Amino acid sequence: MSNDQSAFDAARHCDAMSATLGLTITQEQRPAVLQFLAIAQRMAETVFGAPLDDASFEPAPVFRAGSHVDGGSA
Amino acid sequence: MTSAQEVVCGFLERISALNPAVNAFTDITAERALAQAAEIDARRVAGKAIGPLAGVPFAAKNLFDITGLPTRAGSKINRDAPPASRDAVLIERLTQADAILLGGLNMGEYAYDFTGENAHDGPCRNPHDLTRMAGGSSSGSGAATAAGLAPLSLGSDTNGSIRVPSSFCGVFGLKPTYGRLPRTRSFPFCDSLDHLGPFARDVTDLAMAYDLMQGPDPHDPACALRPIEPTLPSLKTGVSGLRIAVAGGYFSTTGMPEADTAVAVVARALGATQVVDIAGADIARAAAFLITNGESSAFHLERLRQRTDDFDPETRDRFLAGAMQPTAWYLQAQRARRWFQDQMMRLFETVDLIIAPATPCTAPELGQKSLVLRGETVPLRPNIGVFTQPISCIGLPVATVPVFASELPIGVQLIGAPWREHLCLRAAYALAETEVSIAKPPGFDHHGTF
Repeated sequence: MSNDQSAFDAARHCDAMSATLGLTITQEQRPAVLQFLAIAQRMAETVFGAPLDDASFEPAPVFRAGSHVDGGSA
Repeated sequence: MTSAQEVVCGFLERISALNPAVNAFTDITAERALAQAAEIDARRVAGKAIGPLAGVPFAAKNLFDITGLPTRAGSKINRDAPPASRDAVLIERLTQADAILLGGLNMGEYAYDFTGENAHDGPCRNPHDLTRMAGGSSSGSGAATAAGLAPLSLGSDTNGSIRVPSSFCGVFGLKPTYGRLPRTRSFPFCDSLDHLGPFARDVTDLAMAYDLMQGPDPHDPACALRPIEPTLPSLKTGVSGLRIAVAGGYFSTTGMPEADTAVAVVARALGATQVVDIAGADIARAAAFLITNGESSAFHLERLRQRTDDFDPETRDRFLAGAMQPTAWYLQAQRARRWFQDQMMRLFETVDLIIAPATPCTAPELGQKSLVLRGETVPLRPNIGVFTQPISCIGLPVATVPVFASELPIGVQLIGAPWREHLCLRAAYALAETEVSIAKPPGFDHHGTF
């Protein structure tokens, strides 16, 4: 699977997702947010380069049914 | 014999004198410390049992719950939270051993930081050069330990936040295996990658504190149901027979003179001549980046909606970007993490310990924004953890040891297979014993001035 950088438009992604999530991105914040989105996209390109097998799966995060202990504010 | 009260008073005086310059402590729990010291002294005088850390002061990164204080986690927002009603479980365990908590320590906001700079509490300063970064996000833990404000401290490490300040401040740090120490009643950053661990200027202190904190706790679902596996019994048995290799490829220190010298010195002292290529480290680093960015931002989403302006600008924009991360990126990162672990477990069939730099450089100047990495100028914040992120991505145990390759220290990672903290600490002890790795006191202890 590829995650081609040329197909990624950080500004459009930011506009769509911030509206969906109810986030207000100010003009002051926007350049850095777009920069970090671009970094994340490059990181995504890298992880999509891992030679994964369809049979592989990731068991973590682990959910254990039935266990719950109230340990406080963690 | 010095009483616990005398020890505590001495440390409180030292904190009072030095903390305004270092800015390692954000809360000082003097009343609690003095009361506990008096109680320990009374027990000792009465001939009653006292714990193995009786009278040893310690301090904790301010994301650990401390009874009576809001758990600020480096933020402004969390100061509005009610005071914690109970200590974090690791503080409880050290307290049960009669160690004495001196207070809470500065940190990067919500642990999303490698610098130790904090817009709300001010930067934590490097005791070896007050114009430089302490490293983050456990900045106060590294700085307080290095400055002799606490012989022992607690921090957290998600992508390098124990190992980076250990490196910049020149102290020993242990990031145990993911799932070893319970995180109960500590403020989370990224559940999939959060680890807790100790800092010290002495390897025996580090091992003893670690041993006393082991054991599962049912509230932390990631905490493994393993028995306590003490490291002290084998600590002084040396490294003979261990297969120790130097990490090459991605971890090459070419063009990084201090890191290069430090790795070479440690490798020579441990008799490591083999170089191993760690294939996929770049993928692991990217996976750690995405998992951290996505999970932490989802966790803070409501705060990002309601109180954006109350975030530290240096963390806020990364959280905002992370909140918008596509699910497919996150899940691919989790799958890549498993793949890298499988690669590394195969490598650990042929080696016991891997030596790698902890940081690409010594502590940068406060306010510095970029870094020259192998001849290329790159943004500083995302790149300080370039050597630590792939390792914590798969939860491997690491002892970080300090080397003074120049006036400033730099750390070297001793990386083991999962659950083999004892090997990391054995090698760290061997390096300390031969004085290859020493947590030197800061200059102001030599000169008597700042």
